[in-house]
Amino acid sequence: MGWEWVELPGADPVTVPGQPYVCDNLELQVAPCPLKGEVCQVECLQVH
Amino acid sequence: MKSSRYNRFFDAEDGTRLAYNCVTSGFATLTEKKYRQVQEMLASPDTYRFNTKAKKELRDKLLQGGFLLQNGMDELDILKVRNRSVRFDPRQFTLTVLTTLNCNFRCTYCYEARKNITMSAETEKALIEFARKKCENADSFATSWYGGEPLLRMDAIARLREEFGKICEANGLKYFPGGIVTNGYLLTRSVGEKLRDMGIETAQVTLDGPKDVHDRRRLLPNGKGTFDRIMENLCQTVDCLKTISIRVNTDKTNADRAVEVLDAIEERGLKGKVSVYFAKVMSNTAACANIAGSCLVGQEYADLELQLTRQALAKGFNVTKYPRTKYHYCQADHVNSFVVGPDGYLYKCWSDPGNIEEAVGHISDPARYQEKKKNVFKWLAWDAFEKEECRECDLLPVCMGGCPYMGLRANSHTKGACDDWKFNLLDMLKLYYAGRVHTSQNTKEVATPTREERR
Repeated sequence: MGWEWVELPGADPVTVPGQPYVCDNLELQVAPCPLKGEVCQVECLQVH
Repeated sequence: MKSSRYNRFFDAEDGTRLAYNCVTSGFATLTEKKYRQVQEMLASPDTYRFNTKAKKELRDKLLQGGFLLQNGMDELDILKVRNRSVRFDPRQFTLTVLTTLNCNFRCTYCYEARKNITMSAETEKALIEFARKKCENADSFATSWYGGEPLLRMDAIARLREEFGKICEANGLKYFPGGIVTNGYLLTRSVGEKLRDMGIETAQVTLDGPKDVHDRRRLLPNGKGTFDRIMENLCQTVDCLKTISIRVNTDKTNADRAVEVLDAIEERGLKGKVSVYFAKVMSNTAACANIAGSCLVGQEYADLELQLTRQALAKGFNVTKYPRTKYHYCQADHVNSFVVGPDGYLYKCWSDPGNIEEAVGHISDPARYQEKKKNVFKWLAWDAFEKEECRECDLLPVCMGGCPYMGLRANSHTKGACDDWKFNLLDMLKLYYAGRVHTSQNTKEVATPTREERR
């Protein structure tokens, strides 16, 4: 259709090294969560 | 409806039209025709006639990506509520555990106070009890393992990990054993397998360039280099750990050679098996004040980061990073996240262990806990939304005021500690797009408009 997602809208589920973020507060989301509410453990040690 | 203040429209290096929204971090390619339509829609969304199926579909994409909003929606309010709801949610308990401050390396730029403190059996026991109490009111518990060199105390890591797992099982909590930050010197096959069996399947290892460069910076106490042994260990463990992340620390003294580490990684058959990222050396504690002159900051580092990313792509390494919107910055500003030192002192930031002045409490000693409790408030009261320049900044959603440690030190009432995105966001997005196209040419993962479509 002339519009293709490179990255879908959605927040970083983890901003703390090793910390999972359970994205269950749906009313606060401004975009659908690509993780669909699942617990995600992304290796995000890059902050440090 | 109204247009988001956080929209960015720009062109990729191949001329493809790109759209990015900083609040949702939605990122899309669009044809020239759609680009023009989008500009018209966003210019006057309440009067634009969405009178065809295609136009309605495009409007829905804009709404999904946050490019278009309902009237009356204040994006700063959204960011603020999101930030508060996560920062002050105590259900997620996080510990970064330092079982020792001792280290088998003498890196030239180390920021930790060099102290030979290692975790005693008594402190281990107290830490387990501390975690047990914290877990009573949590939904999940996640750990990271750090030091000093954490692999000097594999015994303590194994015991703590086992006890933490039992606590979570007893309380019905999800436990995330997490990752380990190690210099890699002791990361043998046998150690890698033990970590894997403990569920610690992510390791971050630092390599600062090719052998001659790395060995001048990351030394043993006897002055000998460490490159060959680390490389050998990576080869031995790469298939037993889920992720090995290579951090390449850069400053003025290795900026021109850092990218050569990729050649060494490729020569040993590790390309595509380990992930690589470039980072900057910072002079942020008294222990490393002497290296301030060689550090790259602000625009200087952002330019280097772009250059290194571009060079890596040319070598076939996709090391691009993506500006994902943040709810908050890091564990230092989260209410139930702590760094615990080997002596039981609690801290908020990885930069502080060993500096008792900055401790925010102690795992077992009530007197010391009360004495240090005051420090908690400065971290939790740190707030980018109180800074005028942050509120006005279009990058707030991906920066969140930047590193609280640096922000608190700067002590500015008007601004935080800007993240590198401030200086290179659009260029990094262009490289990210180029990297995605490069790596997905065969899979069609990213649809690249044809020259005809671009018109």
